[in-house]
Amino acid sequence: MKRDKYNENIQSQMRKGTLEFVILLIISRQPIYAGDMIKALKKYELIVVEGTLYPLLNRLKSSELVDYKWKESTSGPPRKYYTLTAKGKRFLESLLISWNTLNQSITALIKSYEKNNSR
Amino acid sequence: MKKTIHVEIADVDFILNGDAYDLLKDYLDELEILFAGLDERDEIIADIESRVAEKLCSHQKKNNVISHDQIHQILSDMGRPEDIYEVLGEFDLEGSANAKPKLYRDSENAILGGVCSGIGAYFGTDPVIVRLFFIAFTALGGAGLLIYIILWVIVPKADTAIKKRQMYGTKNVLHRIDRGLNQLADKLQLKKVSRKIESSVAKKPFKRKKSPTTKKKASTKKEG
Repeated sequence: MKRDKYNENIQSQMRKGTLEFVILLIISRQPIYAGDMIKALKKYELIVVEGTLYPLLNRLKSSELVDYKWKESTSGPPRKYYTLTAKGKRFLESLLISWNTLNQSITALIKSYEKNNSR
Repeated sequence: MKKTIHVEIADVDFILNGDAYDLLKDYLDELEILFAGLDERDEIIADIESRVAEKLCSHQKKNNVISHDQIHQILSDMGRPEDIYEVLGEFDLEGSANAKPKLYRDSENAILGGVCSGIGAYFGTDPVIVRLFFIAFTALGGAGLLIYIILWVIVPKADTAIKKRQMYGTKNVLHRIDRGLNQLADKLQLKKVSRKIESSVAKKPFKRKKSPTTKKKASTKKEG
């Protein structure tokens, strides 16, 4: 029972740690508003609770990593279209470097794990 | 006969059933507690309201009264405040850890109504001491029992995860003491205190102090 909770905790930590990275990646593609971000995040199964996006976006905004412009919508309230700031782009670059390093190490470890277990 | 309520959510007009309104209102109130102390609180809640309005627009036929079930469905997509808290954890909600403790009845550690346990959490003292105090006060001919019963009636029960969190002021107190010591150490140019506190509530926010310093200063001023 306790084990399960620990396991769950680690998995949610992993997901949580990558959430902001993922949001920055999505914003980097094109100006996008929260509703479409949620669609993208759901498509890749990266978010379940929609409400978690908003505190993160506001934090990115107050850290000056993203900025937004208001746009009217025909089907509802006006939307905030987010873009990366120059600082945000640099930050994303540095995240990509750390991610790639981590990814290489983990992939190497996984490969050796699979080798050992296939014997 | 049923009451309906006319509301404006993110500048869009809606007509809600009475119970749908209550549900949404409670939800937004809980979010306000959850994000209390965050500088971005109002903006986060405005964003969430805007999302709710957007969803309502896509569901709604013209001049339709919005039902309890519709709101319920939307809010379960948005996630209960507890779920948002689970995902983000204390790290992201540092500000709310600085909120002042609130007095609730702690039914989980209750012997009778959880009054003493709640008071203990509020003041950061052992509930046993509070209980002894009440017993002594009653035994010495005071109105201990009467006061207890009154508190039992008027103090709300901590029935949600967020209320339980608000009740535990003690962890916040430890965090505040550390910050106070650090400020003092800064002045005296001593080594900083890095107390290892078992609870993650106190430990994580402590780390995050590195980020925007100007803002943090502003928020400490508010507290004081």
